[in-house]
Amino acid sequence: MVEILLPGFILAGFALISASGLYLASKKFYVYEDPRIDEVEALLPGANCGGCGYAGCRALAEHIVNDHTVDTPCPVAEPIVMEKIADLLGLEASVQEKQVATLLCKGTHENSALAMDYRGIQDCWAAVIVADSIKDCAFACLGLGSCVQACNFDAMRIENGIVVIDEEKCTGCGICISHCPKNLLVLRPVSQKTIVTCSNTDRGPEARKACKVACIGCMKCQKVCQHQAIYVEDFLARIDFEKCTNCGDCVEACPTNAIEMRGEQVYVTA
Amino acid sequence: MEAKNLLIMDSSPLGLAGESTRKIMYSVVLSLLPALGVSFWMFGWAAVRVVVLTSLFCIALEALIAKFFNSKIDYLDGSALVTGILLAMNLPSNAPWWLLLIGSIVAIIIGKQVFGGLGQNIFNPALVARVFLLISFPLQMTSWPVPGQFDGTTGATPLGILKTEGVGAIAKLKTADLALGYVGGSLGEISALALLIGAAYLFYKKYITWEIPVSFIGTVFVFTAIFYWINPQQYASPVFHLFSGGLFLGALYMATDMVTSPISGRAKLIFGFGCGFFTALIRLFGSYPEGVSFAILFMNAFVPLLDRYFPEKKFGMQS
Amino acid sequence: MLQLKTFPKGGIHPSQQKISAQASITYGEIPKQLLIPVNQHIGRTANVVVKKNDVVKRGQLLAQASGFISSNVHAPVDGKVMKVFRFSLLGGAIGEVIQIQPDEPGKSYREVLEQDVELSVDLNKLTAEEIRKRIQEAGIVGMGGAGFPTHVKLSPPPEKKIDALIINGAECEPYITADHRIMVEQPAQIIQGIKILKKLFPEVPVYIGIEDNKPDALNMMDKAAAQEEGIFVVPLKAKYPQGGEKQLIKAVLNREVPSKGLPMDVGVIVQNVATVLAIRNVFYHNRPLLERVVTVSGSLVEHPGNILLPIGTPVSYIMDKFNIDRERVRLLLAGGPMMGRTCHSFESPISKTTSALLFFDEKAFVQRQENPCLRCGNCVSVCPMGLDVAIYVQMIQKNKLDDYAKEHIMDCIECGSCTYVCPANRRLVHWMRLGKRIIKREN
Repeated sequence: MVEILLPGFILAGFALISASGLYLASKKFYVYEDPRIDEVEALLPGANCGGCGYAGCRALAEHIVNDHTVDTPCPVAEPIVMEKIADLLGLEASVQEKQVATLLCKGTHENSALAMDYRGIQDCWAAVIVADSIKDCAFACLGLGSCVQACNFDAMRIENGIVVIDEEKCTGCGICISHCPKNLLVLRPVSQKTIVTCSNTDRGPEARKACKVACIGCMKCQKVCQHQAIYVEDFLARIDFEKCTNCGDCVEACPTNAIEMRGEQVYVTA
Repeated sequence: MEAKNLLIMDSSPLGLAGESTRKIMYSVVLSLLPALGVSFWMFGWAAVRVVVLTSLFCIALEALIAKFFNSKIDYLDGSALVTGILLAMNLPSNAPWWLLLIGSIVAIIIGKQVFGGLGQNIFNPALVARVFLLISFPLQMTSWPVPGQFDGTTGATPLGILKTEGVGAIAKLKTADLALGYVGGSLGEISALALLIGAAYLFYKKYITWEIPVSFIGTVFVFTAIFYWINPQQYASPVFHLFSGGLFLGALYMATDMVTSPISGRAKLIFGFGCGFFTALIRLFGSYPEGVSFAILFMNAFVPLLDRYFPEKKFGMQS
Repeated sequence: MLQLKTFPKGGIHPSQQKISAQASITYGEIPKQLLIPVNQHIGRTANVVVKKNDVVKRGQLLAQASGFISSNVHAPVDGKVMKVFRFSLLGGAIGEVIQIQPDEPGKSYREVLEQDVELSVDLNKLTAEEIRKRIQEAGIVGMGGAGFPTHVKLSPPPEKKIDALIINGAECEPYITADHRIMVEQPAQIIQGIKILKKLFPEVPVYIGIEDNKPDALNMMDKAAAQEEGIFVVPLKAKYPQGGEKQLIKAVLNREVPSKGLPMDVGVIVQNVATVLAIRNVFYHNRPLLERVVTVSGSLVEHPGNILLPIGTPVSYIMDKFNIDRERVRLLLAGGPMMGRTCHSFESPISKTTSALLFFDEKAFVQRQENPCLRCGNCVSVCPMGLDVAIYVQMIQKNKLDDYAKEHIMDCIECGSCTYVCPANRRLVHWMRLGKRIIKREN
């Protein structure tokens, strides 16, 4: 009997001592953390994408609570989330409109043919080491998917030689922007439907040769716009999102179909 | 415009020396043929059975992994075959088929594919399997058929005899017998001469370099010589140690495995020294008669560290 | 027999393919159009100073260097400026070119050269300052391939004492024989160029490094140098990449350029033989850099040769001249197979740094099906810089670069030796280049 009881008591004693030690340590080395940090973190999406600029959701929660500010919105979460967080802290939330990544290029294989048979590493950054562009247009999307790899939300894919972005899945975190060696990605408010899907700053004749739907800088859009929302600079049309009303006049006027009204039927160029 | 005839664009260089993974692997297989020949001669069809079955199991396992997990794996590149042959050479000729299967599974799946496939494993797959089998099935792994006798007689290896019965019992063994292979043992460890011939071919092709074999074997020799000198009654001669057990197989084929050995020359010397040191330690003072497998596996763990701290001397760096 | 010098660490011996070695330099004709690239050098792009319809003369300035590390660009022939526009250049880049319509297309370029007056040069009257200034104005850049502005290289800061000049006649790349032919056919002129350089660095010995696969060049240069004081021909055992500055300096003088350093850090300046010849022509013909010898070779060229052409000649002109079947060309290389760049347009023009044009069909191209790294160490053993290539490339692929790797990757000279010997067919140089980009982006 003793053989069972004695080890039993000894082990129980050890357990008691260890437990007490842990309890004392948890009290003595306790670091005070505002319990609201946990609450804010629970409200955040938990994707740890870094789109806000902080190292993960916990870090953003710490910033929000410790610095008592909602100046840095989580670009991934619904606007209602930032409102809830603001309420928690007794602050006013500034509602930001959802933004989505947009590719300013429509140089698909049909529109801008391949200028070479590229056999190197299938990555955009690797390709620009070998050639400034692999298509006829010097500015075109390479279609090798460095941005697709970077997307944490599975919102991008390659189709017909260019990147296609699923605007439902895209959270506007902005990580992909810096992954394009041709600087073709921008964030735009999702309500902005009129987009110049071209980044070619070559003169008209060259741009025309480079791609079927390139912007040739003819300025017809600028002339027809009644809101001064579109202007041509360096032979490329650019839209001022503040002024644009999505009326669609420029889309109709463009002779090369370089301007798109997102969400509407795209006309194949004649 | 060139229309359909688009010019090829790629990064330099555009040339190739003509080496390939397959060439290297199949050259290693070729270099193992003399040793395999000796083992077939000594152990008969049993040996052939072991080598063929293990090789088939290894290749088949890799093919299965390729089919279900990663179609980019080239299971015919020769690496599975080399693992199979080397594993077989670590086994007795009377090993039952299920032992061969379990060994192959451990070698290919746990020793290689789980780490990420070819080039990613830290430990030599054949040795991982061998040690696994040794510890799990000690009985089957330590009964060695006597060479030349095909009636199922088994005996202990020279090192086994040394460990259990002492120096006196091995005194009558001739060095020539040890070198040529007229002793009990696994398929691959018996003939030092055959292994040397094969390794010479690999040296010629520059697939292995002198650092590891020389430092490995040299360290064992020196270590055992020291103790033999101190007490020849208790410790066997260094020549005996040189030609017994899996030292030549280990030093020439297992420790020099490209994937699990260091890259720079200096690191290789340290690696070989470590292997030799632990082999001698286990043989002289450990309870296992043979230490080569354990020593190599132990040193495999240090290879990334050795590569990091003993790299090739860089051009333009003074120290 | 004295052991020939070479660099001790790494290096490979690819098949040399010097099939055009015995072809004397021929002269092209002025093509129908010239496309003069505006940026043919390392450094800031020059500013175009001509516009459409301007009439230009041979040797006239077309683009002005912008800053010190930049280079002037001149018109090689009399003609009219048609257009300035962006175009595909050799090597995959897209850049501005100045289109010139020559007055006399079809005229033999030899006649054009003969019309340049030959001047007599009194070395005693030349000052170092004047020499540097005229080299700068002439738009001389390193013609071995790098295109670094020569006047910058020849103006080291005063604290870097130069005690040796090395003339690079190694030409270690397979196929290329342009420098070889220059040395065989114009040795006296090269020596004249060297003597001009010596005015910049008085009392400094000059070593001409020439690989032993060019015995006739060694012979001719030896004879020409024998009469001069302080100029020594150094025969070298052929090994790739001996023509790389750092390896050449190690071979000739046994000095190692420190990591991330320059040759001037060990007191040396290296100049390519073609560059030296161009410098000579600045003073003896009052001619800026307007033309160069280009080796035309490859499996699709029936009669490979070395042709002297004006800068801006399109590749298509050369293809017609050498009767190359357009339909069969699948690989066009500017430079050699080890470090040359692939090109995608037959209309791209040759530039100051185009040492060779190689034409190959489909069979010559090695499609790299990358296999897993074996850790065989071939790449490490042939790397002339002693880099742990296999380890760095695995890090780059997995995007796990550590500080140790970052420090050493920048020392890669991109010679291609590692990729050449890799049994797993991995594009090691391409990965290293990608790694360098990643590191530069982080800074």
